[in-house]
Amino acid sequence: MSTLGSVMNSALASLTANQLALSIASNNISNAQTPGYVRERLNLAPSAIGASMFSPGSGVQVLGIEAIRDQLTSARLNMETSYKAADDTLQGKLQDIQGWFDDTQGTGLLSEITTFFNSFQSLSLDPTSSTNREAVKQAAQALIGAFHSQSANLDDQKQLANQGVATDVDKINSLTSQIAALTKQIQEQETPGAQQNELRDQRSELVRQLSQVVDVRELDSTDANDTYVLSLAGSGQTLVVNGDAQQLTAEAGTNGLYAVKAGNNDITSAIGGGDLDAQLQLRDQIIPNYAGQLDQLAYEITQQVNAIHSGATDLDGNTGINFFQPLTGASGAAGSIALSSQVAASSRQIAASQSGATGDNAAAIAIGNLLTQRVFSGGSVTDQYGALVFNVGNDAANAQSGSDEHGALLTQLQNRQQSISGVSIDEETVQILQFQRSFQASAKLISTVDQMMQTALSMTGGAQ
Amino acid sequence: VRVTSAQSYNTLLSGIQDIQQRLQQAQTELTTGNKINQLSDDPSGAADIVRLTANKSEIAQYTSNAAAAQNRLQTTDSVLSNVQNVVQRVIALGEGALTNPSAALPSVPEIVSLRDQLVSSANTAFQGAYLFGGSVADKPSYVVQPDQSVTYQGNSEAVQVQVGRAATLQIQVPGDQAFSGSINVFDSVKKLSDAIQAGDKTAIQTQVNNLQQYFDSVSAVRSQVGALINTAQNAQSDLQSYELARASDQSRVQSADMAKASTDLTQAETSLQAALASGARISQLSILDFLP
Repeated sequence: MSTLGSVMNSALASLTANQLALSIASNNISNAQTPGYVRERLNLAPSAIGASMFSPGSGVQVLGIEAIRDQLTSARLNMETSYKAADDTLQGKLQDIQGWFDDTQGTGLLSEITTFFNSFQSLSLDPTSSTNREAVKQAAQALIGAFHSQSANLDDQKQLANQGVATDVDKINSLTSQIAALTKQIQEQETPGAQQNELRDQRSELVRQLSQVVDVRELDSTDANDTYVLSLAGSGQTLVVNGDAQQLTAEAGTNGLYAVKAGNNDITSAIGGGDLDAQLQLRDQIIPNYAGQLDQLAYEITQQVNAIHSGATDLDGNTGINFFQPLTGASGAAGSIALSSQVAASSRQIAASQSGATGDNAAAIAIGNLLTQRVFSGGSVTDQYGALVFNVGNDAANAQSGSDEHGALLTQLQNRQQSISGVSIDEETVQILQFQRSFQASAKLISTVDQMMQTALSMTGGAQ
Repeated sequence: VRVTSAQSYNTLLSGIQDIQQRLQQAQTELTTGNKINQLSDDPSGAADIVRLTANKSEIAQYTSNAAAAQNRLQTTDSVLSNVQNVVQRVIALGEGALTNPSAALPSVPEIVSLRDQLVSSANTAFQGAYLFGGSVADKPSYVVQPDQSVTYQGNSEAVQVQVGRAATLQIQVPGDQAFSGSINVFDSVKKLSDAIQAGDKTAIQTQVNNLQQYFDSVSAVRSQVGALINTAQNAQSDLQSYELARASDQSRVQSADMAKASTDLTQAETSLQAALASGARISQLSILDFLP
């Protein structure tokens, strides 16, 4: 048999439940724009306490507050975040680098290369002219200067990327410690059915931030063991296991380049995704590739010019003089290319004459003609330089399109996540209206029951 | 599908960014007139521009070589024309000595001074380099020895310069062709003045004949120089048309299609307006506005 008291109780439960629902809606609305916030929902069920064949249920029962998450979308979102961050970093750096090779804006080496070889053609018009000789020397110095500054620029970028590696490792360590601390809190405070949604949201947001630095995989088992493992996507190296974080170290090698280590394990080559991957790619592949091409060009120019120059005669009848300081190999050539001591001392030592006669210009013409002859490993000297320009531009274009592509995917995934976990103000408003009405109805019920009780009481009072 | 307000704003934002990018691209193309404004806009086009730019500077160098060669050859020609005048005068004096023996002796000093003129013509320097020494440019081509004989210090090399990848142009005539070939003009003039002093009519006649022959040989050299000047001029006009061709190649690779760029700009503008207008609408549509 149901009594007025039990009706009162169920009305009270309803009041509490509706109030709770209102406060959840309020919380949802407040956090509508909070990054990483996952909307919450009140799980209600009819209470079965005291129910029997001839009695209605005893009202509503609060089962818990559920956060509407989608693990799969979050995981994919984190992955795309990593890829996008890597391409963004690459794109930004390559944007800078390609600016130095932009001959349409006059910043590349092209004008120095052509001016250098053309100065020998001008010298051929009058090999005895000191003006022409000084012009050759100046053009050579300009070319050498351009090689030096390009090579220094590339080296600077390489060092910056190297610094970036160390900074990224610091960021990873700081984020993983925070994630481990949160995990510890979550595991201590969570009881089955009552998830620590706020802490979990905070942790998801940290993992998302970590994804910008490096691609990670999250394993959050909800089984009895309740284990949480965060690992690097490339090597599977664990970063966080439950409440413990494995710190990574950036250890400088003999060449000053940082290796990323977990304990004694060098995991540099296994890093994938994120800013760290981009910095490593720039430092170990992209920039060394450009620098190598630049070195090769400087080396071959030195070799080709010297081969002709050393067989020719200068204005004072000397032979066997090198134009450039001979180099032992291509490695580092762009940074070390220099005039030979003789030519640096006097432009009279520039050898323009093949026959030995002062007015003979055959050697000057031969050096000048190197500009167009396909005697370099990449064709002509300008072809070879053009290949470098193409590589730089192509890498920048690929990074750009990669960033655009991943950006589009990221927006798509963000929208999907928003669609599942985001807060809709309209929806919450409607919910507020609903709960408000329920609350009003329950309140009305209480006052009705109250009146009924009074009626019942007055009945007894009236009898006396 | 659930749609949340953050989602609408996200879509709006990424849409606007996308359009802004297109707008900027079109704007850059219109303001610079180039469709390649950085290497990544078209990497292979940028490599083509490197090739074409190098090609243009090569052509410019050949053009300046050809112009300098022309200058030098024209100087050579005017020197040789002057030489012909001098030789003609010497011949006239020699013939005068034959027809009018009384005028013979008084003409000797003039002949001696005319020979000096010839020597100085043969030693003409063009921008500091001797024109007629073959590839010996730093020493006077001819020196007068104490015994009054004149010796050649140059060689027979004809110096050439590059006026095209495979085209060379001779820029000078060695003295052993212009002054001291089969007939050495200095010797001949010396012998003439000696013969006049000695009154040896046969010898005078021989030298007058030799000088006539020399005059003709200079004419032949001058027509050769004339042909070279012609070649230099032709080379320059050829190079000019190459340069125009390269410039149009470059413009094909590099220049923006203005019509397309301005259409793109208009399109992007329209899209941006639409996106912004829809953005303004998003915030107007809320259930809150319809509640009492």
